[in-house]
Amino acid sequence: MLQSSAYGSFLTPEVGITVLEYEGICSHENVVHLSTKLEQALAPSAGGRFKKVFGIFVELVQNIKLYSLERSASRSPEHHNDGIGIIRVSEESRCYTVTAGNCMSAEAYERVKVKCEAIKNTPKEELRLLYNEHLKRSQEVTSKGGGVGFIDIALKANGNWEYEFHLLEENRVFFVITAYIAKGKFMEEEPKSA
Amino acid sequence: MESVFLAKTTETPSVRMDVQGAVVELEGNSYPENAFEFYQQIFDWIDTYFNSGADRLRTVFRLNYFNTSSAKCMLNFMTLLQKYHGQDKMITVEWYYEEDDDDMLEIGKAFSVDFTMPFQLLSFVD
Repeated sequence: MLQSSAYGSFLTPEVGITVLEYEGICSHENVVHLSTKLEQALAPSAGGRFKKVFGIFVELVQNIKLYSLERSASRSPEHHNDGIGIIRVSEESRCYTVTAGNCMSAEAYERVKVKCEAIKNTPKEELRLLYNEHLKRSQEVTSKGGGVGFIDIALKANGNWEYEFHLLEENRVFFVITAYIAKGKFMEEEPKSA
Repeated sequence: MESVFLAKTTETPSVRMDVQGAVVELEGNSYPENAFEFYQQIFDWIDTYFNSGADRLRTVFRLNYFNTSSAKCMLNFMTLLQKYHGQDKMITVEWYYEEDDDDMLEIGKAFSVDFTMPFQLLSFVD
């Protein structure tokens, strides 16, 4: 069993100032609590960019809640069967970074890899169209929201996002997704190099 | 048929469903644990409202942020309004977006193209 304390080593190396980092059970109560803390910490200084950081953060922490292979064993009703993972928001001189990770099964890995590759290979200017198409398609099936979420993250990060898979023991994979939100429009093409 | 007001929470918008004013107005954030359950109560109210003989409804969306599950519900919301528009009910949509919020603007634009009821995109400065 992977220990929670080991998650941090899988994330994109920390650069700049950590605004918020959380590792543990992503219950709905924790999603709300963390998003409130993020708003208090970042909204006053991030201006118009805050909504993008906030949107990506909520999407990623809700993804952990819904899809992480590692689930809460807590008997507490509010933490019943919620996903476990790690999420960090940091601030560099030219961009904000939101990075999150969670375990997944080998089967889920195959599905997510295909999804991520398809979105990554979509030109930035076509992402909005892809989002609208997926939103309409998802209207016809019962879904918790996973498919459109990655496109939404890619859109909010203006195409500046990346993902990694780390193979673990017991046929499991640790998935890491990182989004970069440029502070100013002038450097949206190159936000990663702080 | 009664008017209903749902108070704003951290993760759900305030919702005013007003019979006398013939308006449904949403304002705030939307990322509830179960978006479909949250929005179904609004859809049910609208169905009852029109089944009671109402002939018009003004809808106002002044949302700060919504997650993808809520985005699906917004699409369902527009589909429902389109249905009543197709039945000759007078439907209007006012979609507000903060001046520099291109995400809220773009999704509003997509709805305004995909649906045929009167649809206004309105910017505001917070």
